[in-house]
Amino acid sequence: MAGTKLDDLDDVIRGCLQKVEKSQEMLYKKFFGYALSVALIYTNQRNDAFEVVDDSFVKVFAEIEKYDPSQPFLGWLRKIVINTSIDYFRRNQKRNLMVDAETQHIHDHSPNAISNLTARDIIDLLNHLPNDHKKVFCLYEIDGFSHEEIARELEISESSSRVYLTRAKKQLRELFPVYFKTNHEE
Amino acid sequence: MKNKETDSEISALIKQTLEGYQEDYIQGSWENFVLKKKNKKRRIIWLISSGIAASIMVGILIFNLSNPVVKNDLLKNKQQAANKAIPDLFSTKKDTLTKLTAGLIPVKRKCSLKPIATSLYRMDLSGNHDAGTANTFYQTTNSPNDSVTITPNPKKTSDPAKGKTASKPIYFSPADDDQVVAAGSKRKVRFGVDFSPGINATQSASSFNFSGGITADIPVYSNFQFSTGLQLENQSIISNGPQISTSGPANQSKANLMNLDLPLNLTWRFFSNKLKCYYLSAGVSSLAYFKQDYQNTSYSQQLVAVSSLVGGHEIISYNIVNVASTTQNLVTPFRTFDFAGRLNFLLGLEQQLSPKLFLHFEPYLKIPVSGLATENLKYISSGVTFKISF
Repeated sequence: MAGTKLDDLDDVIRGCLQKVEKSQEMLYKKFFGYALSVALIYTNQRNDAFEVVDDSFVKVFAEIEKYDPSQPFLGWLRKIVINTSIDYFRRNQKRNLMVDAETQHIHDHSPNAISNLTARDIIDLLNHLPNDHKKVFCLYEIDGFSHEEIARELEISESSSRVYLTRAKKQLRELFPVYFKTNHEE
Repeated sequence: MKNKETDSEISALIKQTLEGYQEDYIQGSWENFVLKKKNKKRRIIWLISSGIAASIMVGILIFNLSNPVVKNDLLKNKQQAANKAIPDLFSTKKDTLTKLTAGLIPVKRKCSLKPIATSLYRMDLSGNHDAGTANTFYQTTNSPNDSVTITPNPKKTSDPAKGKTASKPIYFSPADDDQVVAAGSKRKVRFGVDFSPGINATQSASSFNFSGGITADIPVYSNFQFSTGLQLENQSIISNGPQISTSGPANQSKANLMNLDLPLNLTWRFFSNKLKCYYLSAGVSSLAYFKQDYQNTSYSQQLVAVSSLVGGHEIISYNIVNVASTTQNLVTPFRTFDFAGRLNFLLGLEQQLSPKLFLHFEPYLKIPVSGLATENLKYISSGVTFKISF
């Protein structure tokens, strides 16, 4: 069964290489959810995540010949989505700063208890971090980037990356009990 | 130490929760993606093509202005035209000559264009091309700056018709070379037919338009002329509204218009030689609509139950689907008239095909002064007009 699925993906990728629209549609629909979940981690707003997903798929279809079939497709796609998110963030940095300032005090979500945490709760929690801190934390802790790689991706120094990570962890330490307090009391 | 432990616990929890996390596919996303891609592609193609067209125009203009060969040709053309005009002038009867001299003033400046001066020196009043007659030359009051001035010959003019020497000056009006060239065809009203494909751009989308019609160029003064005509335009204007759901397609308004366009532009011909001419034109357009068809499509998301049989059991699942609803509004003909509703700007190149036939190439931009047509549409039109004038 797994083999069949792999063959399916190979066929779809082959179709994408030949710019067959049906294959592109299949690939898009198949990996849309995954790409969106990655984009949601790296962006602050759902609308931005949709933009990032679409931009990522434009890159995927344009550069599909660069994909190495011996490597997992999901890894390649994830890298593209992360890079696109970073580019998107850089492009809209001014707007993001304003949104950051506005969203810092907004707490419109009722999270579950720690034992019952969902991905959305975590994403909401991460959105309380400043953008740079959040990106460094996600790249380091979730995607396993080194500080050197983070520095290169975000165009910051390695020491800044380390500082941001430490600050992000500290903020999460403080946020965790506050953020989930309501649910513990219930 | 305790902080480090807490940090790794939090990190592990976050990592674990996000592992395997995947959103569902949202209906309509692919359609929206395709639509976005198409619009982007269209915008890029249009930007590139208008960039190329503008670069070519500017390139040709710079080449013509800086190329000494072309400059010399231009000068030669003007001199030839002036030389041609002189015998015609002198072969006229005396009374005609007297009429021609009306309103002329004497020139007191030194000669600047020798070939013309030489040809003048070889003529006498009877039209014989003999040398050595004495003349004082005059210039028209219309063009004091572009004067062709000639040093007066101290000798007196001999008048063969009367057999005695003329002491009065001979009046001559060759002065402005442009006027000499313009003496023939330039001063006439020139009619033409044109066709122009283009693009209508709103803030959110763009669409094609085309128009065609008749034109008239009426000379008013020196290098200026009024350009008018009557154009029949077929336009489609698309505008995407705000998205209700970020994943679904955006609401769309589409207007199909057919209208008459009555432009009134002032044209300035800033560079011209015998074969080519460049001009800038600006003015306003008044529009009368005889077909207005508006279609508004809005999308809403609905839950649709889908039943399937799995192992003999009926399972009902729910899918989100985008449901489109369209409303149409047809407006009665000639109900709306936009007087001076649009500003026109164009840069034109005129190429002579034959002595009485000219090809024009005019990239243009039309900007609305206010909302146009019944639904106050705001869109910018741009494109290229191809015109034949005669």
